[in-house]
Amino acid sequence: MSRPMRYLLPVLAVALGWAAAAGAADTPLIHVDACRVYAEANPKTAVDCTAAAAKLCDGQPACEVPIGRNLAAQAREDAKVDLAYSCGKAHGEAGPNDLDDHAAVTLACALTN
Amino acid sequence: MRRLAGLATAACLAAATSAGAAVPPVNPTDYPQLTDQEIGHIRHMVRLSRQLPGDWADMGTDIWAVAERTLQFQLSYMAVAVGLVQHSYTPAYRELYQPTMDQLIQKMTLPDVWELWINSSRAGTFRSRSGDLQAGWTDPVRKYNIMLKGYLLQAGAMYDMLYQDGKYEKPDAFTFRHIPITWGNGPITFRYSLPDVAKIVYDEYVASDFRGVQCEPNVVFPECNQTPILGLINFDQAHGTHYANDIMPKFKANWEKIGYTDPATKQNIDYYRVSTQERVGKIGPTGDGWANSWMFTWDPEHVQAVYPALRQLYLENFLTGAYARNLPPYGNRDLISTGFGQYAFMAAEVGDAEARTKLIAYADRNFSATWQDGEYYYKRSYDYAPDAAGNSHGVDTWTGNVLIALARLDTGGAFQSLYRHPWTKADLTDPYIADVDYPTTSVSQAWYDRAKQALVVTIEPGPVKAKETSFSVRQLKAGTRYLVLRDGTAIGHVGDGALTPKADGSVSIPVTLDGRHSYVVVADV
Repeated sequence: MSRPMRYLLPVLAVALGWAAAAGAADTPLIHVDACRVYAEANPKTAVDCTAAAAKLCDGQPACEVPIGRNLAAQAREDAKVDLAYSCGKAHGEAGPNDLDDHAAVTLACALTN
Repeated sequence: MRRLAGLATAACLAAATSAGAAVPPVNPTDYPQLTDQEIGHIRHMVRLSRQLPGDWADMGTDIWAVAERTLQFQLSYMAVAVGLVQHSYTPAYRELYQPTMDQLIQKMTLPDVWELWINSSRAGTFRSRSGDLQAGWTDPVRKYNIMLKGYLLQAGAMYDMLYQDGKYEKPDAFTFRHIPITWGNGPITFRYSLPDVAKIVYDEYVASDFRGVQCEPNVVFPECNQTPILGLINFDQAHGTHYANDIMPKFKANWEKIGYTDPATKQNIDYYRVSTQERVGKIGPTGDGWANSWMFTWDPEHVQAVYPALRQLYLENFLTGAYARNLPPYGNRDLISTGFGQYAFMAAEVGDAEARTKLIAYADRNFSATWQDGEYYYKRSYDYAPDAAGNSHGVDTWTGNVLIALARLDTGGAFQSLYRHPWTKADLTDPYIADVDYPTTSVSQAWYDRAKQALVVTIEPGPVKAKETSFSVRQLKAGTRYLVLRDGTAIGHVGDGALTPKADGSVSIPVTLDGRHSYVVVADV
């Protein structure tokens, strides 16, 4: 195995969740820090969707958050969705992505760094 | 030439008499039957459908000018080719075709296929005239990209028409997972049902004022606006919607108003630029064959009107090898071959038997025709420059895997017929065969004749040798006495001796794999 691959493979394995001891008692679990739906043209007027995302994800090792109008019923079609979360001291982000009734982002402690 | 079951006519009459049974004469040659080459084509598609995720062996191409290449087209064309054989040749043998079609469709949702959309969605100055590259978007179904979702819709709706199992009604029927860890904004999954896709496509025709759904932003290609209409025809038949009926007359009117077809040459334009309402370029045989082969189903008058001029323009060019004299200096040579394949498929669907026969013969002579483990296909070749006799031997994978196969399977209006005669629930309650040992056994014919209450099956040896096998007959009508004939000779009644039904009501028919044998299971009334 080439040297770069020797280092890369364990990283990939962890990142993709293969090596994660998800759910073990001493393993950090997801805490949603922030979720917002906003228009790119006016990012300051965002809808706070933290509670909705937290309901789906807090305390889980991994979860999916649908990022459509379930988060902000009145949002513009071209709105964006951005989530930030933590697993202990590790930080993760999902997005920004387009608001999309057919889309769901994956949050996972195995993906944080 | 379509193969005839040699002794069948005489034998079947004799059998009916020798059995002393009151059965109608049933002649296997009266029903569709696959040739050895056609079976080989299907076996090739089955093998490709079973390749491991990410394995695209025998499916590569050099068409680098087109962002999406041809994987999605090869997959969808193979799916509907399998669907065509299911519908029109072997309707009473489904256990091979259903999973094959499903696997081909599902491969279109793999990242290797759909993620190329992310580049296309970014538009740019070259073709979309968007001013610099845009941010684009990842979701491959949400907006535009009719060159993917139009084919998903066609294949998914055909599957739904044939098998009616509800699989593509589910919210996650088409699931696209975007999971890179080396770039991007994190993992995201897009899920769509067939009804979702149908509604989105319909809404985009409406939003375009029926000018056509965009491929890349600001660009409408005529060829990619055909299969979504066919998909909506099947969808409407199953769901009672009227999407296709609403689109067809309005799109046809715009087709003429915009001038998608040049009235002088009868060639289609390359594309329509939405923002400036420009017709740009001429597409050539790849696009003309591509559009007209499908358009023949929903607008046959148009295709019949343009076909003679296209024949004049292209056919001799192919048959003399002239089409391959000018090769691109870098890449895109496979477009030469897709022109051949698309023209051949169009000629077949419009019923030009002479052109179809000549083109298939040319392919068999020149295109590295390959028999391998029971598969028949034209292995990719880059040997495009014509030889001393003027023949080109180059062939691309879209043509070699499926387009010539379609030309062979389609003896004229095959898809037109499929869309006009969709299966109903009743078709799935008729007797059919199952438990066929695929490696050792090929089924060249499986047809239930409802009027004669006769199941007609022809079995022959497959690529893996075996002396004996069997197949099951299922869904025989309770209370009906059935006579079983092999090659026209009665071998007994269901319920007698070896033909005793199992607990589930199916009957196992023994088969000797020493050649082709036809079986008829017919109500003895």
